[in-house]
Amino acid sequence: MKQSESQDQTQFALEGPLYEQPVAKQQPLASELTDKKSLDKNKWKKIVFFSLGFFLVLIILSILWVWSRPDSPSDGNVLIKDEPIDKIISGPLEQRVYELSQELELADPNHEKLPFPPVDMRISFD
Amino acid sequence: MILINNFFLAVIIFFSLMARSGQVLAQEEPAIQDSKMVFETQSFSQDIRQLTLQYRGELEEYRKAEQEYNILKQQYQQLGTLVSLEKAVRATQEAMVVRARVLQTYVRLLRFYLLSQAGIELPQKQVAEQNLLDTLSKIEQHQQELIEPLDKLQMRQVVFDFQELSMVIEESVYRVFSLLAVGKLQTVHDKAIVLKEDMKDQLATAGGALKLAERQRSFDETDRVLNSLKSSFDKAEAVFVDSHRISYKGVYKSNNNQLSLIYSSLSKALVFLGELLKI
Repeated sequence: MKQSESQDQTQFALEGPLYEQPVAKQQPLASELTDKKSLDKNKWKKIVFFSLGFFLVLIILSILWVWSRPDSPSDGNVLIKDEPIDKIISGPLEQRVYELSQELELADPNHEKLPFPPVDMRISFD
Repeated sequence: MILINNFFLAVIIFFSLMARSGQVLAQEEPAIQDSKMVFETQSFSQDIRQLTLQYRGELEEYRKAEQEYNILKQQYQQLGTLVSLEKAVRATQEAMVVRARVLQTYVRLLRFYLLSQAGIELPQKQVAEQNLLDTLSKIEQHQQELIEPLDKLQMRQVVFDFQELSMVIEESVYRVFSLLAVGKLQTVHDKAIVLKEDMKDQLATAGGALKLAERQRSFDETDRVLNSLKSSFDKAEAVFVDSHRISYKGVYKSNNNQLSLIYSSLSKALVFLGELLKI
């Protein structure tokens, strides 16, 4: 039986790291770096194209909205053709009826617009 | 990078064009409203606005003068001293001066309202205007009497004279009130008839035969309401014209019931016209 080998596990644990093989850190290769750059570039391109597409859709929708407005002077006649006849006729007439009703409210005989001045007509010294 | 720049440039141009077109549309609408306003209002609108502001200011000034007059008069009644007498006389005179100023501005303002009101017979309008001008000169005369400092006896005389003048002022004012009340309703009546005729012309071809018959019945009913008002207006004006011996204040109050009936009938006619558009 060989007695030279130590059986102390604590000492073995302390010396353990000395026997470990050092692992050399691998440096990134030049080709890997170029790949990463190209990936970043692709990512930016995607963002730009997505935002470009989004804005284009937005612009198209805006143009459609402007054209479809009923009070647009450029295509007003076309829109009027689509409306029912009664609606076109009654528009200004309804407005006149409304205005006349407002005028009638002002003509209420129980409401004087400029009443007699609230002054004491009997001011006297006595 | 150039692509992005171009894109943003395009976006900026697009939105600036949008904003410009919006501005153009927004500028067009008030122009229409302005022309409409010019058509509807008379040339007296500027005078009325200016005099209304002046009237409000003078009325405020009068309230302060009247308050001071009441306080100093009360003080004199309590103290009975010469100093309090002098102060009370001055305060009374001041209140009367400011009151005369208020009445002058009010009569001027009322004259412009009368002149700008349509629907009044021209001879009646001219007589009422002349009456207002006479009243105005009488108020100015009364104000002249108050320029010099007055003693207690002189003050009493001015107060006595003003009692008569106040009745003249009231009569002139109520005469104009009566004319204005009739004129306003007459204007609405005339406009309602014109509107009804326009509606008849424009709605003649709309809808089918069934609607046409229904609409004709509605027009007939509206005609009946509007035509019945002619006699009501005649009655209201007859009371006013024959009121040589009656006070205009009395005429104004007695006419009020008649005018209220006209008002409710006109309101009914306008509701009918509104309903007619929905047939």
